[in-house]
Amino acid sequence: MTIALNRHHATFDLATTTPVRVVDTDVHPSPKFGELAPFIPEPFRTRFAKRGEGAGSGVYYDAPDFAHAMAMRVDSYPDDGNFAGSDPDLLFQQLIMEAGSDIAILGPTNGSPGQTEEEVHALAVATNLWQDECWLSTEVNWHRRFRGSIVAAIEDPAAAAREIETWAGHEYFSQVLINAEMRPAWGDPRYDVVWAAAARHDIPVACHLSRGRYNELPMSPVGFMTYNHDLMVSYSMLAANQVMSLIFDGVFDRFPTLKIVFIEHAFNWILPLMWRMDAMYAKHGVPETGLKRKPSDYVKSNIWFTTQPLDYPEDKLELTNALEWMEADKVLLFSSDYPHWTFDDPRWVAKHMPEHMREAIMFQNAIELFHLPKEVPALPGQKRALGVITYISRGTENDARGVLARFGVSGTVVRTIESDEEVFTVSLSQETRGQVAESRLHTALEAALNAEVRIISA
Amino acid sequence: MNVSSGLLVDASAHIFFENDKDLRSYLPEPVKSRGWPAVDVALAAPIGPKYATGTQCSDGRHPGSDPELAGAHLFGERGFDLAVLHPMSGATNVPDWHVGTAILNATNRMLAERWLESGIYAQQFRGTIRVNPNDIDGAVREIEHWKNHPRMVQIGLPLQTQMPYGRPYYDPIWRAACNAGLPVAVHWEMGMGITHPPTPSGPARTYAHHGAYVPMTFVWHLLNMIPEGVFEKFPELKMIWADGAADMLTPFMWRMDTFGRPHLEQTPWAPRMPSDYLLSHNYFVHSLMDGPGDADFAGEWLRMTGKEDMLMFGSSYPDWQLVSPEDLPTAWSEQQRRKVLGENAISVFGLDQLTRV
Repeated sequence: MTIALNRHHATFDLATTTPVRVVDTDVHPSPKFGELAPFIPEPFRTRFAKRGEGAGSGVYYDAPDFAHAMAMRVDSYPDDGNFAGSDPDLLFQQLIMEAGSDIAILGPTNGSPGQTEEEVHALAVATNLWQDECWLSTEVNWHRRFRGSIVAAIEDPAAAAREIETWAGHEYFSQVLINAEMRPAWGDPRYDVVWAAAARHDIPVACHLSRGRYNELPMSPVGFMTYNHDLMVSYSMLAANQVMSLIFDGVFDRFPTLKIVFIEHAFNWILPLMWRMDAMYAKHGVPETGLKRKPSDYVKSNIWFTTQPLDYPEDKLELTNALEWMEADKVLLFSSDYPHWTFDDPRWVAKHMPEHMREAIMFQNAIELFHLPKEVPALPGQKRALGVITYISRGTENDARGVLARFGVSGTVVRTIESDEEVFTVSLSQETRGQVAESRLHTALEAALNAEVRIISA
Repeated sequence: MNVSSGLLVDASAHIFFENDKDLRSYLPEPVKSRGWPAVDVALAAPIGPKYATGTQCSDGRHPGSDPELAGAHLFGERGFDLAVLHPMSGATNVPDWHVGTAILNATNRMLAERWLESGIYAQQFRGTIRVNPNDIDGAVREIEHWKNHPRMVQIGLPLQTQMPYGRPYYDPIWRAACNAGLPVAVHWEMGMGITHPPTPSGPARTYAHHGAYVPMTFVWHLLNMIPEGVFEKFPELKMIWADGAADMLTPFMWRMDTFGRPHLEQTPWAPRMPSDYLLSHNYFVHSLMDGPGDADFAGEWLRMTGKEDMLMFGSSYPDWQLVSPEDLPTAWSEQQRRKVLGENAISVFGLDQLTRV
């Protein structure tokens, strides 16, 4: 592999630079087996090791085909038997070189499980040391395309603030990363010390959707959801509540420069939520909250959302309209969610964004927010996702046939363009359609092709 | 169906007992001597009036407890032809479900006697059979008892529950509703009690936050009911989400279709695309905080996700969030306005239910 050679940066020309055109704000590295443990302070290291003995999968809400893919892109598992996202070289190859994300902001989510505040904090400390050594070192990050997250245990605000102080100013740490599910919500003054530390260092605070092992499983105001999809889709309601808490409880009046990033919480809901908050503010919010501005103003100046998962209706013009109405260029940051099964390719996302918003969403907002360089060392052979917008999808008819073969079926594949959108029509015999799990096939085809797929009877 | 009847329907007006003594007069012992929270007890309440100006009754009786005063407001001043009355209560939040069921039984009797069967506006009022989801057998009995009352047009359940409405525990209620041919209206129960915290992150610190957030709770119920196959099991079931927030339907159904589709194999009992289960099964009452305001795209937004066929005007009388037809966006088409002000209500309740004398 040519990349292995490039690890020796002396052989690599760092002086030739290229403009950053895609910043990927949701990328998940994971430790190789045993890689994190040395960084975990005692007595937690021994405690976690004991707890892990003989323990198997901890999944309660399972993504499709969990037993086979564990919710990951199946091609993202390295050959050495470690987990998806554990090999910096493979991640670099697939995400930076092949998909065309120019800068990847790493958001490790292995820091969330823990039974007590002390445990969550110990994992945060370890995860930061691990990122620094295993992902952001000159040796590994020779290409300067990786950025890390200061994982901070919001569960213990004082400790979280100390952790921010410890790492702020590190060349390659671009954001603070906290868990989403703590009670109470973030407007509570007990968290002010965290916001103060972040604001002092002008570093955004991000939170990633999680599964709540600290507070057990995430629970709604009407009890536990049943499946992975009602849980994951309704999870945006938790983010909506944090938005409302931050705004109505005056956090942005206390910390006007604080920047909050919601990662993988979806975003279309912010449009009607802004209307709703503004309506309540107009009727009842002024004397009670004393806010200086109307709620939607705070959203547009202090809050960002990452694009993945990009949800869309049958009529994509509705999505375009919603993006215009919400002023998406003020609130969105591109993300792929590599290496998860729900990976969104940068070119696929870009073509769904209104043209006049495309550059803001794909890279400009992130460069400004995270203080990223506008230029990075060029990588010969890297796929450039943005620049010349391409309407050629990632997949070909052959890719589609390959997916069909994996399902043990055959059919004809026709690729057409309908109003700038690529459509693959797959014809299967009636008999074949009865044999396969069609929505699984449909998903596999869409993932391989990054285009609309229609399955019809031959 | 005659959709050009021109009926103006207020799909959600709220009524109350006059006071605690009034409620007790409807209750048998031993419940009559028990204790329970008053209907307006809550940690989160608006700073300022809880009820709209002019809705107060004489002698300190609770707003919304006088049929003649409410009728004069709803039909006289506001010009509606019909109003669906949804009695407000805190009964389903009471830990002792026997007490909760007894209070709702008393509520239904009060509603029938005082509002639907006597008084000058009886012909224009329609009623809600309030039932307790913490007592399934009792709820089914209550539905059976009232289902043939000519002016009871829907069943009422609380928005706050121990479990989401997709769980099979609730099936007997859906079965009874379908057998009775009545839609089920879900409305925010007053007060606190044996509910989970109102947000996933605990209580809100302000009323502005609390009051704007809680109506969106329907999202969890609906997202759970779809993959649990409730609308497959009960093809006749109609749900009315009576606190508004229908705007949330659009982003959450986009997401449920996009993300949920790959999960369909996990739920062979609900094989269709999630959004296929919306129309003819789900309706919303329009509330004061809904919609983009008077934006020029308000009509386009109402069209999206089929909301224009789901939304019904509801005043929330006598709550402070009292809505008037003048508050509806001017960008709505004339047809959208007609649907929301009456035609959708006719498709939910049936014209004969609404016009029978």
